[in-house]
Amino acid sequence: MGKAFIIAKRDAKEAFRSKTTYFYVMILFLLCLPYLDGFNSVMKDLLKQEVSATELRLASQSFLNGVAYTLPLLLTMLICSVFAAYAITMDKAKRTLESLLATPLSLRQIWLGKSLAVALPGVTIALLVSLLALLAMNLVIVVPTVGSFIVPSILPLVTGLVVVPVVAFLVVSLVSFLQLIMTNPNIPNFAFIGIFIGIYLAIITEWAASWDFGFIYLMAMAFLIPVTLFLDRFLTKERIILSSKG
Amino acid sequence: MGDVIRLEGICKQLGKREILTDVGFTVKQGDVFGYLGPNGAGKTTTIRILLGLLQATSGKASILGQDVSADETRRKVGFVLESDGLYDNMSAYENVAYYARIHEVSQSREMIQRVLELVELSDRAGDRVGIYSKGMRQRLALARAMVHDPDILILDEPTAGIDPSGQIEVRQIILDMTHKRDKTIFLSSHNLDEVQRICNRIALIDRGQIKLYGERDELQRKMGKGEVIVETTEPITEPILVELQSLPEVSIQNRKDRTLILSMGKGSEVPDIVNFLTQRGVRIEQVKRREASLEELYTTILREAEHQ
Repeated sequence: MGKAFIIAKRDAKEAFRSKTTYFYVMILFLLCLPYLDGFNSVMKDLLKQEVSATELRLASQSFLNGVAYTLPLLLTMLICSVFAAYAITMDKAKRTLESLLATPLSLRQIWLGKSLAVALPGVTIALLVSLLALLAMNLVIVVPTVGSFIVPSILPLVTGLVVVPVVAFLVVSLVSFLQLIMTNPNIPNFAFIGIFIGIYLAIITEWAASWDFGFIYLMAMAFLIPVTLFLDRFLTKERIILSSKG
Repeated sequence: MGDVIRLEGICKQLGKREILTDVGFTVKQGDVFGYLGPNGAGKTTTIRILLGLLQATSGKASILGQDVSADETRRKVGFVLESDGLYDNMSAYENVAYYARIHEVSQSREMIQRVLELVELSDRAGDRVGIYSKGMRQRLALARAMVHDPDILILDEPTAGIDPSGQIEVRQIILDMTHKRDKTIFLSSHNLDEVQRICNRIALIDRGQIKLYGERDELQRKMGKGEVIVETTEPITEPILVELQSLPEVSIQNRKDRTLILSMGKGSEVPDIVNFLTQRGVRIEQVKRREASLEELYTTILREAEHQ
């Protein structure tokens, strides 16, 4: 595990040296704006209907629960696509990965290190931005209308803070695996964007309004854990070397 | 001296293409082993097998008695691959420190300083590698390869693309490695001059097959076509030369001032020539067998292989 962290630290550092990373962090903040706007509209409608304070509180709670379920994963997927480019795509293109493979590090350590390099900073940034978005929603909308702070319920909060990072790590591991063995490592990176667009569309079309995100994430975990463990046997240095240019 | 690297009957097939066919050789402790061959001959594939990056289809490859595929084996090996594998955005120090951490080098700070001094980059250690020249990069790659004090260095064309002064510097580091630090070096190259200067044993690979293998001096002597250079204090007179040529299986190849190049068949011996000349009052300064140059050796073998 320690050696995997050495790889993860270096790759993450490399990503933070790039301006692109900060540009994407800005985009994460911008992506929170539609949530803020949507929440504002919902609350304005309710105020027009002159609903009771309890109903306002319940509506706020419900909206914030939805944010806690979806926003962390949405943001994680987008920022992970940036970190993944530094961890594996660039390493393969510049053939620094070949040198790494020739060290005493095991393939599992390298795979784990590369996955951590993407997932750890990705999830941390996404969670921080999500928490800031929840704080902003409270300060701008909840407190002026309801009169006090509202925290999402325990289940969405735990899902957002614990389950989402696990799901994100598993998705990252799967994408990293594909990036390691595919000739064009950019292709698997589109999986992040695909999941991101999927969640985004589901939210803005309100298609996902009735979805039980907690259950969906658990199902995803139940699928991804055995798949990742199964794929482990197909990862060989030869596959990685032969899929690299040169 | 024990075998440090041993390859036995290595074959490597990629798809339908046979990249290596029955490749076998040994590298002994303290050798600077030159692995020669044209582009696409199989040099890099052999190196990748040695480093456990590719698996041989058949045959056995071991380093210090351990199978090359074992992660443990690579603790004893330092390497510079065809692509230097350095991180452009990191400083020279950071690049070496990264590998020191991977190799769990104790007292890594001192070790990093030492290897950077060895390749004369300690004053540029803080600079970003992206601005380094090719020669500096190769020196840094050598420093990185040595940071865990390995017994063996595997170098894939370490001077390729470097200017002559850079090549001299890299060569000097390699020689220091073997003479002062008792490292065994496996060096792949198509720079014949370089191999001539630093390697004591060689193997020549062409189209995946070893065509020539052994002590470099001995191979050059064997391929030297039995020519002998005789240097005298005074030019040899014509009558003696005529008499010399009448000896069985001796013919004069070239004559210039005080130097005589003789071609000798299997039935003639150098001491006989020396006796013959001294008996006739010729004072000999030096007698030496003319070795084939590595270039002659290389082109002859490759030409023969082409005609097969």
